[in-house]
Amino acid sequence: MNIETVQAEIKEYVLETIVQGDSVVINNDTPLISSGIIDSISTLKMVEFLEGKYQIEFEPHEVDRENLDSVEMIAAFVLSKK
Amino acid sequence: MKNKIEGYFYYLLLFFIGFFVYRFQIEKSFNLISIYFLSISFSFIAYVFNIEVKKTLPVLFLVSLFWLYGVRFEFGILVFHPQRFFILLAIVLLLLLVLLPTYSLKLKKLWFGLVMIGLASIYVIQGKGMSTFNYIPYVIGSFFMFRSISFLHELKFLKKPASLLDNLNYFLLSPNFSLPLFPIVDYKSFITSYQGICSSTLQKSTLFICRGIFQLLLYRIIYHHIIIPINEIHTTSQVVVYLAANFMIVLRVIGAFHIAIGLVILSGYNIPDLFNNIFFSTGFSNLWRRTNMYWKNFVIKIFYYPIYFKIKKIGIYAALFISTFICFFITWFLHTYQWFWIKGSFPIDLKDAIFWGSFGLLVSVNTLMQQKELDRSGKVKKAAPFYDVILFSFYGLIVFFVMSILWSIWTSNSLYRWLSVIALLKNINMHELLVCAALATAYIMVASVYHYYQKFKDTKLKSIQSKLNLFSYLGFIAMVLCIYAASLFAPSLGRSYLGYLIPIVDEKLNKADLINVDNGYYSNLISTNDYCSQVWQNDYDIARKWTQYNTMHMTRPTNNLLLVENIPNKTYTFRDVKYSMNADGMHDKPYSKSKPDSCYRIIILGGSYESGNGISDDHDFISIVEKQLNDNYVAEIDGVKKHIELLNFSVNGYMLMQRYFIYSQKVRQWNPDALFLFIHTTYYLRIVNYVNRLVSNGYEINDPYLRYVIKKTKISKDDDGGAVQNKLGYYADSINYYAAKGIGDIAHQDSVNLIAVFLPSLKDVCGARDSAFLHNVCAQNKMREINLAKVFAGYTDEALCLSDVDFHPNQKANNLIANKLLENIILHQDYFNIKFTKK
Repeated sequence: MNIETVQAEIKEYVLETIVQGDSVVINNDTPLISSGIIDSISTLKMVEFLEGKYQIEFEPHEVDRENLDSVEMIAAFVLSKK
Repeated sequence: MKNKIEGYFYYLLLFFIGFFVYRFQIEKSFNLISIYFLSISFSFIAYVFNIEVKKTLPVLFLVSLFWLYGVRFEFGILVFHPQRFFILLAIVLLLLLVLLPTYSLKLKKLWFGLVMIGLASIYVIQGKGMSTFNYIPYVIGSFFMFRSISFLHELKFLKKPASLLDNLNYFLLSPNFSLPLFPIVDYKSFITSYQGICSSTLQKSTLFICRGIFQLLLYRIIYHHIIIPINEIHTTSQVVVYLAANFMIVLRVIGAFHIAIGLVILSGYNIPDLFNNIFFSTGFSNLWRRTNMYWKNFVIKIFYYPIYFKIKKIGIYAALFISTFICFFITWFLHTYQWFWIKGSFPIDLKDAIFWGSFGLLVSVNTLMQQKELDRSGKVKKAAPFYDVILFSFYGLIVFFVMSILWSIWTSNSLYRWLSVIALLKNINMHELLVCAALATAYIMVASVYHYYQKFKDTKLKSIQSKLNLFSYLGFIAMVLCIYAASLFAPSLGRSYLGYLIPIVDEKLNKADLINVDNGYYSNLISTNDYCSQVWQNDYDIARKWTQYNTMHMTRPTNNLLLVENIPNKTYTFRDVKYSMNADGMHDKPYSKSKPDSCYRIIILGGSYESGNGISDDHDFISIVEKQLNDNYVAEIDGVKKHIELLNFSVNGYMLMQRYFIYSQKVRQWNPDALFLFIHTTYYLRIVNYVNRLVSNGYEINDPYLRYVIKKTKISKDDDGGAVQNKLGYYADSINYYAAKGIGDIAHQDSVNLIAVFLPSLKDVCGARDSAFLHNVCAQNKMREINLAKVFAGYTDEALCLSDVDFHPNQKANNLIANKLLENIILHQDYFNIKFTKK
């Protein structure tokens, strides 16, 4: 599993499940939490997705802007948990 | 910064805005103006001399501390004021949290717990009186109560420890001195947000401060001109306006928070915005996201996520619902915890439970519905073609209305009063319906513009948006100031339509709160939980800078219909004003009970005005009149000279009923020749408080009429002030008439010359009613009448009140009353069957 693949999968999830056709451009470095694109509930849904998809487990304190604020940060965090 | 001139421009603007802060007396009680100029000056100096601004913040903190808590030099030596010393000690103790090594987290938590418990103990032991130590827990509490929790929580998970300076700066946020209710700044966000002074931080800081002032001015307009006193609400549309206005005064918190954040950003830490137009929320969960985002993030991080992760096995929907709901109960508790540190009380109230429980339930259900819709349709509506904009506005109207109702419960004086207001909604007719529809349409139109603009700004206006906002706020503030200035230069205009703006320029109570204060709803110091009410600040001012009669302990409870009586031989000195009682419990010099033949004795029955609250012994108007009558006039009855005695039996807070009781039980024995019965405004309102206290204390009601009224109206021990007022109804007036008649009957029986003296109240809220009461009372009981209605003519209330928080007459007002009363005594000497001749 390489980072590009993970980034692509996460980006797809964000676009299909969270952004859903809104005219928002999502790049790998687009801020997601700090810009308000995803809220706390959507973050939890995404965590559920990441846990299921990559067989990892989040700790409560890891649900944080430091780890989840952009596609590239999420991918890096997922890989660090593997 | 590329262009240093741009920086100077923002500083110039900030200094200019400081003038608004000063003139509009924004958070004057908390010395915001001092902290504002200190913060700007430090930032400016750092900017000019290229000093890293964050290095100056601990110094700014110390200067602010010394500035606000007094640096005293005596004989050239710096005196360690005990209050400042203990504040410093407590801060040092708590800052050990930062200095202790990171690995000993348990030790840090234990240390924090012990110090906070110690401070809380001081608070509880000292109570809410005027003690030297009273403000130590308040100051320390508001600095540390939440930030310590965030700090200790994050410390465990930090990948890279912050510098000591960042840690210190996190705790030592100087604006907190002037804004005790401070946003919960997130530790991690704070330490990672430092950018120094640059174009974006200066612009953002200026914008936030302007926005805060703008919101506080809007708050004052609503507070003074839109909120309707409960007893003046009669129609459905008035109920709707009352509900909406009460919700909108949350602008006070929003404005104060924006100023606080603006000042923090000015110190180089570029922390984010914390409110997002809450009045245009499109759902309850949306409202929760837009309201105080710092608080929401704090609760989510510390409580919500840990709870959710613990229970998520039960299923995502159930876990989301339960976690959200629990977090609202935690929020309720944290608000109470916050009030404990700020006010020293731990209020647990049914109204709080209703508010937070209902709000929590609405957000939880709304969150669940949104998630289910998301999963079902795969789409959440976020924004907006025209149809969606209208739909969002309609949702917003529903949220606004429901929140107004919840907010009005939360901030009401009592549930009974709230229910009596809401009951008026059923009296709707076509005209009222049209007015309500017009109000709703107005909201939808404004909200539609907002939602449309929200969509629009992301594209074309984004780059200039914040500058546009900044100049809009500045324009508004300048407009208010200009109109106010015009009203000063043209006083005749100031009294007409321009006068509309005057109350919002200063910190003042509105009519509704003046009535509430007078009615005794806020009788305990800092009793209100509602920071949005100006009363909160008024109470804070009293606690901090002033003392009132009831805190001097000059009276004691009597456990009977008098409720209280003066304590004989008691003396109290406040601000060089000596206030004392004689051996018979009169605020007067000593008199012998047996009346000498050469004496003409006049008894004074009054309340706080006649007691000379806040006035030195012998300088109250009763003493002045007595002295002037004897010094300047010869008093004769049938050619026999008389010495005039004015015996002051007034007791602070006495209603007519208490005056009747003290007259019949005590004063009669002093053989008066005449009696002055002082009548003021607001008796109608105060009788409610009197009956409430009587019944709630369970005193024996050994007056037949009072017993009859209480039985007839079914007033019980459990009734609050609102319930008592509603149940008493017209009986409130009848009790006053009964008391006046009782006094009149005794006076006539004893052949005492009875003179009713009408003295208007300062900060009068219902003068006309009570002036009419005087005429009726006099007519019904054959009393003579002295009307001092115009005694304060030509003066503002401010010029005649003891202070901006104590509305009793000051020395000047006492002199005015004395002159007018003396003039009337001479003019109406026939009332006394006495002849006065000028010496």
